[in-house]
Amino acid sequence: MAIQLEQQDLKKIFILLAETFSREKDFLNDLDSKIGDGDHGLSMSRGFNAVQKTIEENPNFTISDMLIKSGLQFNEVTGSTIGILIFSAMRAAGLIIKEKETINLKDLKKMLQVSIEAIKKRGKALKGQKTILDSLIPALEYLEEQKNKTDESLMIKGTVKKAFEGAQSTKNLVSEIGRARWFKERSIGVMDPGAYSGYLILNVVGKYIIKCKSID
Amino acid sequence: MKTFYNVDEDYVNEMLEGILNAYPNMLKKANGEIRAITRVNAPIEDKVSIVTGGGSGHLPVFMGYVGKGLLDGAAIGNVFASPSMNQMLTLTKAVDGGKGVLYLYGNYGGDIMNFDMAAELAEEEGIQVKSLLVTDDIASGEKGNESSRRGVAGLFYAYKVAGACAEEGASLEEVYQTTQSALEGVRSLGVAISPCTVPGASKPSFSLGEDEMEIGMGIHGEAGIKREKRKTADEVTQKMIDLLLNDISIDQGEEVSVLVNSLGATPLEELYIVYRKISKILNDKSIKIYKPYIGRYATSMEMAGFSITLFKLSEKFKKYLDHPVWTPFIKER
Repeated sequence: MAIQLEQQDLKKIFILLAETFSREKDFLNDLDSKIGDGDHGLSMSRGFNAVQKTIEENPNFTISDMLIKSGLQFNEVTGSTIGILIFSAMRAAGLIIKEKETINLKDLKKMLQVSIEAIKKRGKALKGQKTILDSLIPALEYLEEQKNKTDESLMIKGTVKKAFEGAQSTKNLVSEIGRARWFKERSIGVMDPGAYSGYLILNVVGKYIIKCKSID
Repeated sequence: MKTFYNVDEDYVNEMLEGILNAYPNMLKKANGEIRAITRVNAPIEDKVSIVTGGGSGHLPVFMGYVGKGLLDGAAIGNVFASPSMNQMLTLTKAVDGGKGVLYLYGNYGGDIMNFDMAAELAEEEGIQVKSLLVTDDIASGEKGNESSRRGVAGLFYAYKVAGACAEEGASLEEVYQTTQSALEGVRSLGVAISPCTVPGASKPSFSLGEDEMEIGMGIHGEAGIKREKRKTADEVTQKMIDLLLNDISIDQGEEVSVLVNSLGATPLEELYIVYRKISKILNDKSIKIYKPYIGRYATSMEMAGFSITLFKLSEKFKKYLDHPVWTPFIKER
């Protein structure tokens, strides 16, 4: 059976994201303190907790509202670079599925694609510059190559795996963008915390779908 | 480091509440948003509004310069982190007097992304916005690649020029052009000898040995030009002025304003010792100092160190420097 995510599923996914980033906060902060100012985990955790709170306070939010309106709250509590990038991505994803009551794998692919475009545009960044794009883009590229495949479970697992590998590959990259670029040489050998966050997001979504929509 | 605050999460809001309580006749919140501070009489009809913003930890930057003759509003983020897009948008709507809004702020990624999106959304609502980045720190980008440089204490001169120009009745385009041409003559360089700690962080943003200093250190602890053995005030000042005059040519007989700025912990006494040397060097080169500013203008909390900013003047810019200002942190009749 093909994936169908409803409003309640998205709500659960956002709760899982808040839990995940609360748990991974210190790990992400430690990565960031090696190449930046050490607050990436705090920002992500604060941001997704604000998203969760907003969604719980507004039970009538559509899927699109959840992305756009609670994404604004992510930016509100974190500001900074990651705050506006995550909001830009969530807003773009929310706009592309504006009227939809359920979303399928094709929608998810489109949402990932427009999110990446929004991050590229807002951050003026490209793949290979040691950013969140380095986990998201390989994931999307893999998904796009699977055009004629039908096993959605395998496709999702493969996408998450590519995101993980993409995040790991940032260890070999030099920071070229953002505050981390002032730590250029020191950044080699350290995984980009933004790229790892990109993987964490896709991992939460992927795991939820496989476990709760029992498509495996 | 010993500090006085209550809970780290409340650091910024409690600081802002203190400022609002101290200057209720000068400042107010924009639409109830404590992270968006405006002049008490905003919006001012038929004047271009000047808006700035950035992370906390740099007082008087940013809201210390909100007031007559300078800024119309400032958006305030967490310590060393950009404010949100929505705080900037709320601020923009609150200060627009119908003649457009100039976003004037330092060249930092998070600030740019948030201000850019706020500008797009403000324009959708019919507010004209232009953005101008301050890039005065010569340590953060090669000559020829000035646009990559960070904005530091030169923000103060940018605010002076834009604020005065806007109050003269200039259009948004004119305020933008005039401020941009003033900034072409503004250069800064800093030196740090001890770091600061972001509230809630477990350790300082960088570490420097007891006998070390770093010329060009950024105001968030970004790496500078070179870490070296500490030198006397005269030696460091000489070196910094040499680097500055290498970056911008100032001829005999030309006039500059000089800003000697404490990064936070360095006392006024030391700033005047530095200024003494600057005035000697410039006097020997027959460069006239028109109006020196000496004190805390753009800080990094308790960081020890100072920065020197030179502003190459024309008659027009001298007039703008003389334009009266009245804000919580600076008052010039």
